[in-house]
Amino acid sequence: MYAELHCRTNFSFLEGASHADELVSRAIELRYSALAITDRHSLAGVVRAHAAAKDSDLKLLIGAEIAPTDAAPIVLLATDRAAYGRLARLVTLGRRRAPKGECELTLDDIAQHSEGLLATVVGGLGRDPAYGEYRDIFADRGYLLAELHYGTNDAERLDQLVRLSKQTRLPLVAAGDVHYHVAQRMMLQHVLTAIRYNTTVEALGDRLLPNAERHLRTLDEIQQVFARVPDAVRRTMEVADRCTFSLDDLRYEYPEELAPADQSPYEYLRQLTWQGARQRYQNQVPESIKKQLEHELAIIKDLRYEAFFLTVYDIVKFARSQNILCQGRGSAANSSVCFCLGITAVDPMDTDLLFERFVSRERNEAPDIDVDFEHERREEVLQYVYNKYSRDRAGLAATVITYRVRSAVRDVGKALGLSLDRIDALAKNIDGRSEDTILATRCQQSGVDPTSRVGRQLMTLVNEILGFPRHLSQHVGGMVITQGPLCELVPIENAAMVDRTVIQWDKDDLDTLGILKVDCLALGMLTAIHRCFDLIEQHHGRQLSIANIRQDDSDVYDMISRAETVGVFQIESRAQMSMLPRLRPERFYDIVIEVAIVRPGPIQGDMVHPYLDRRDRVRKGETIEPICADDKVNKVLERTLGVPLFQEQAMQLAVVAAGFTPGEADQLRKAMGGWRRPGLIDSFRQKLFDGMLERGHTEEFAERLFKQISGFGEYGFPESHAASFAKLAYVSAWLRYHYQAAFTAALINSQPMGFYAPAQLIRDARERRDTPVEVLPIDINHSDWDCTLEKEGQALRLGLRLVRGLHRAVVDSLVQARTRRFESITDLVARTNLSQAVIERLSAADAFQSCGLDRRKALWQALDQAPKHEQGPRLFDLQSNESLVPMLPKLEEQEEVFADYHSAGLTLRRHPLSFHREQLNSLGVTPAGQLVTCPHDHMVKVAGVVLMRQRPSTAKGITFVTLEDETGIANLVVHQSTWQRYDQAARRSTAMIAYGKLERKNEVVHVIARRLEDLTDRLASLHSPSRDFR
Amino acid sequence: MPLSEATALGNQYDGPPRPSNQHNDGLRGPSYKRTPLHIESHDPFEDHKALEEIAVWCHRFSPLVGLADEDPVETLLLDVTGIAPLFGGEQAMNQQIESAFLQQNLMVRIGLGDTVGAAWALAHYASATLRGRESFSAEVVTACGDVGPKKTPDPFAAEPRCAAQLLELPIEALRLPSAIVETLSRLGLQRVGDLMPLPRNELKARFGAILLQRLDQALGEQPEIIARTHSPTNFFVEWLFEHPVTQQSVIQQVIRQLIERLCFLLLKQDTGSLQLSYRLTCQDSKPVTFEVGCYRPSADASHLWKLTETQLERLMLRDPVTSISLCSIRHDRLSRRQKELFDDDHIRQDSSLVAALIDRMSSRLGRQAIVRCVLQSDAQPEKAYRYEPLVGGSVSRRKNNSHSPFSLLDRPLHLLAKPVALEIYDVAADGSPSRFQYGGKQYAVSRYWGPERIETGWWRQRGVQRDYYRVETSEGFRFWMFRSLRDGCWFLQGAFE
Repeated sequence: MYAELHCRTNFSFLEGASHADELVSRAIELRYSALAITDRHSLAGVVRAHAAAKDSDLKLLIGAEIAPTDAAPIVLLATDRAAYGRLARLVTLGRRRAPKGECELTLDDIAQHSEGLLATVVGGLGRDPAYGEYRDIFADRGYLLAELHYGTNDAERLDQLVRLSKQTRLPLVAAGDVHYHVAQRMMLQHVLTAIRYNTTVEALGDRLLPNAERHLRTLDEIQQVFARVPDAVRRTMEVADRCTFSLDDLRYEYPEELAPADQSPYEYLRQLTWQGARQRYQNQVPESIKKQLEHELAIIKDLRYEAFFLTVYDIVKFARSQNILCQGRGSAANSSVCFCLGITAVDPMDTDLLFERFVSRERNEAPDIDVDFEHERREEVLQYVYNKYSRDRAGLAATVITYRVRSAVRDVGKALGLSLDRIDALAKNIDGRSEDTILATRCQQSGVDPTSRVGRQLMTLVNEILGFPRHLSQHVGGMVITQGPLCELVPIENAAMVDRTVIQWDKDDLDTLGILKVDCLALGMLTAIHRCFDLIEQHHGRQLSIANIRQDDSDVYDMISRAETVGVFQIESRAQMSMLPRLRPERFYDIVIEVAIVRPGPIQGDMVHPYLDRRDRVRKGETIEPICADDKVNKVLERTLGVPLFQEQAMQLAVVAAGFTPGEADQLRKAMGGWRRPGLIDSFRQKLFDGMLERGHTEEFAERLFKQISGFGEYGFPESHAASFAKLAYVSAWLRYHYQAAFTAALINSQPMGFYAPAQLIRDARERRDTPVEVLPIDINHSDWDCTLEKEGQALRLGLRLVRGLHRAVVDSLVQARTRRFESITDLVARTNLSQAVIERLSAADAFQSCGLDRRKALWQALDQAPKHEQGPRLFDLQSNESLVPMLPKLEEQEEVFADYHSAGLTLRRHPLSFHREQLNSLGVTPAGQLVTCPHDHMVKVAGVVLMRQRPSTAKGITFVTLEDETGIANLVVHQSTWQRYDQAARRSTAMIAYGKLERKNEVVHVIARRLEDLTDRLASLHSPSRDFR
Repeated sequence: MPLSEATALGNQYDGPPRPSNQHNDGLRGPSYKRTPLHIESHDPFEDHKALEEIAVWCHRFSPLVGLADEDPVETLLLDVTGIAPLFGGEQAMNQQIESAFLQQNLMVRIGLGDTVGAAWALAHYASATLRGRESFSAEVVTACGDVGPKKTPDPFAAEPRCAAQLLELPIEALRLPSAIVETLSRLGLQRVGDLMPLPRNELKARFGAILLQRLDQALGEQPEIIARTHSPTNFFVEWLFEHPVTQQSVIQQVIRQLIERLCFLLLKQDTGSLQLSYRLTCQDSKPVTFEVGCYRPSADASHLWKLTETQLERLMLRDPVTSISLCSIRHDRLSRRQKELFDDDHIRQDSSLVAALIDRMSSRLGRQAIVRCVLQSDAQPEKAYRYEPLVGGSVSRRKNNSHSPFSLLDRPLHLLAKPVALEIYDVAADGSPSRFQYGGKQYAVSRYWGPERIETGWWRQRGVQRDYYRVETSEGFRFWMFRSLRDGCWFLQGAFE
């Protein structure tokens, strides 16, 4: 009988060398009675251990190792819920005091939180005076740890410990100071130590643990090592028995103040829901909705989620009151209840999304609601939550940053002493995102022989370290809100950002314990939509909201089908645009599919083409055959014509086709996702295959499903999210169709966001097929900071925000002083006190046209505006020398264009390439606009300014480059070999000529590049930032 | 440009990389067939030093040589007022300077002008004399004529050639801060001549005094002075024989004299040499070079001679020697200690005598022969120490502060460099040895301590996994032995005294 009382997981970063679940299953295998998880200053690993130990006899003790600055380190174990709370509070105290990742505690702090905690003091040699104090603090709850690892002089060490134990009256208890679950992990532990000290294993010297004894030892070994002190071994059971705390005891309590005092939360939610329903349906709630609402409310009551819905409702209500646009998404968000509460604008009846699909009685998983807010105002929402519940009760969930192949190779390689450029080559050779990296091949390509000793060690260690946590970062917006103090539920520590704190558990941990979080996320498109609404109200007097825009505007669908979607949320990327003419959305649900289909998941799972084929056939009126004989499977895939496109479908398939429990299906997804571990995936794969073959499915179908699930694991898109995004996509498309000028202005005013730079947005607006938008240049007498509308909302005036190097405060002061026209630069300076640098930037932007000054004249003037305080008031300011501007060489138009790009990143004059058209013609370059008329398979030359470069992880190293000339846009496909051959031109040039084969598919034209040439020299000094690899 | 990218580019320039098919060794560089591009990292300090050396060398052309006032410095200024006739005219002078540079494998661009500014401008923006590509050469020599304000009021009239040429040059030729050049180009002003029609006071108001100053300096309206460079001192002495010499005794005598001269130079600076470098130029073969190192800085001629002598004896000189040079490569301040009242002269002398002995022995037997033992922190006993040469090591001897997890008393005083296999007759129940044979003698263990388990070194060729025991035999001997956990064999590692 033995209980291990001192054991680190890999959440003692760079110390522990095993996952929590590995430790737990090894402890079970060795028939330990109990295992304590005691990470250094952390409770981050306990939930994973708890989940692993759940269905076993192993008793899990929850604790942490604390190393106070003024005494020996101790291991604290929680006996009950209250003591656990104090431990969490103590860790919080130390963590909050110190910089990120560190902890600072004193003996005094421990004394104040000691009640109910068992303390086992790490017994070193020598007589530390603090041992006595520990005895005073913990009385009979204090023990002395005896840890023997075949050191230099174990016998003498044990003698000293026995003596010390007598002196301090702290009973001796055996422990292992466990760092890993099996001895084979010693190498990894050494490597981690080297990473921690930022050196190589070889140079570590005596900082290395000299043997492999820090593993979980067999009971026999333990008996042998502690043969002289059998009591110490027996006493481990005494300690374990005194701990009655389990993480199951953590009762998550919702905040109580959500409902009025005289109403229960459920009654209140019910009342709000019906109130909302009457509003949504203008007092005529359809029968089906009534039924649905009752049904949903019953489930919510059953699962006791009412407080969760109220929390979200409260946050959304606050955002509304502050006029912050928001939109809910996620499994529970697409419910009728959420629709009635105003959390989402997606009518679940429209999309046919059933509540049970997301929240069900059987699957005991937490409902998920993410709320997107305008990206510039999300902070207000977070501050509201902090203020309402205080920092003691609200905190951001953590994201565990884990080792991926690339970072693993980097760190392990360094620890093994590989040369830096070798590591660099290897790390660069590994595509961080693709999961099927064959490490051995990569090693070989980078000059590391995978069969050599170092090569083998590197590969083993990299495989072992994959998925190890490196540090905790803050989740993008997952808020945990509690009734009691949060820091007694889970320790809170400092995040890297100033004034940000993060709890030690991530969203999976919270799921495991059934603790609910609300994701408050930031979304740039909401900012843009809000701004667009404001502009429309201001200039057209029309009040719009996401909810009141008609959802069946066929003109809008036509526009989408023509792929005229620059600036439209989600469906503006090149991949989406090439899909749109093939998919031809006709109703809202088509957009939901469009959003989900152009994703790595469906693409990797090879589902796109089957879906398009089936859709075409349905359109032609053909009937399509079911995917297999199993009706249950067919039902899952009914909505998507037999092709799984959404993450939920893949999970459901695992359930109906392979007999997974819903919980297992979710574990499968997680195993595929973030912290993937090779071994775990294989066991799931086996289970999936067995289950499917048993149910009469073919191996081929199983193989395909597995591939699809693995695609979804990391990049999958749940239907519930797709529906919410589709809503925003539709709304933005609607705005683009009806109010292009306002839409473009709003997008530019919300930069940085989206896919396209202002230059493309402006060009798109000016070249709109039916009604081109007039765009007016930047001018000090007309422009505000933001882009504005003129001529009754039909024309767009560029804002000063586009001018490079101008700050908002400066522009605001300029606009404020503009009570009447600025007549000249001197006038401007006299009235605004702007600095010379600002005037120079304005003149570079050609913003003085309304004063009759071109760039050079304005600059000449600007240079003379020396600071006032130096010269005092200038007597002759008013009849200033504007007329005396000397003859400066006039700018050529091409120079103006370059200057436009340089200062504002866009031009309203001719396209820079148009100046070279003749030259390009003589080179045989086809204008981009004429590519449509070129025959398939024809060899062509195209030239243009590089708008963007993209290399999707799914594209097998293919890079997509978009070129623009004065006639339109050319899409290049650059294969890896071509890319490497023309490396410089490919990666650096702002403009290029490409030579290659034209390929046409369904109105989509690509050029498969064979040769690239840098055009930058010809277009010298063109400053146009391409949006690369975003 | 990051270095990695430069390398990649270099490889690309060499042709596409061709991965070879063999992967025999564990670690290789990128497997390209051609020799990879040679890349040196940028070192502005060394660049500047090299340019200063060239400046010294340039005194053969002009008595007044200076470096331009710019950052980074890449221009040499030579005052050639009245000098050209000595070379046979300006053209000839330029040609001779250029060929002298080319002989040194240096690229050069020469501008000859009436003022420093004009010459600089011509060298940078009008000279076509650079052979090869500019990127290979940082050195640009500017020779200039008159220094100081021109006497003639109108530069155009006096030197139409030079001034007219100057006005055609880009504005960068005026040595202006890049910010001003940029602003001027934004105004559309690109040639020096573009500035001339503009009102001077307006220019000054907008660009400060520097613009006009540079313009005037180039045109000779304002004076400009060349700051002279000096050659730095170094510890170098040389002897040139009028007739090549073969006699060993003569060479020895000369070297003794050179040492004395060098010591004189060293002592003037209170410096002692740590390493001397000899170079004997021979008539028909390559020069012979050798070095002598010291344990402590020394400027003692007789000591240095003794060290040199031991090496000289072994030197084979086949050809007559034409010159001998001696240079101190590394030196440090001489350590001196003031005498104390009750100083023990013997100890002081002893320590310096020991140092002299070490020097002599190292000089005769080679650096690697005279070593000391340094403790290393490594759990594996064979790796726990290493030998370090006494001479030529680091100047200041570091203290090894890392403390071991064990006290030194737990380790034996005698350690075998390689563990010796033992024959074990009897092993106790707990795995400890009870009787064994070593060196033909049998021992019975009466007491033991351990085991101490050491598993380490997996990153080396062969890691170790051992259980160490300290044993005391019935005769009172104490040994340190281990059992390898891999194969169960026993070895002796050391013995306690």
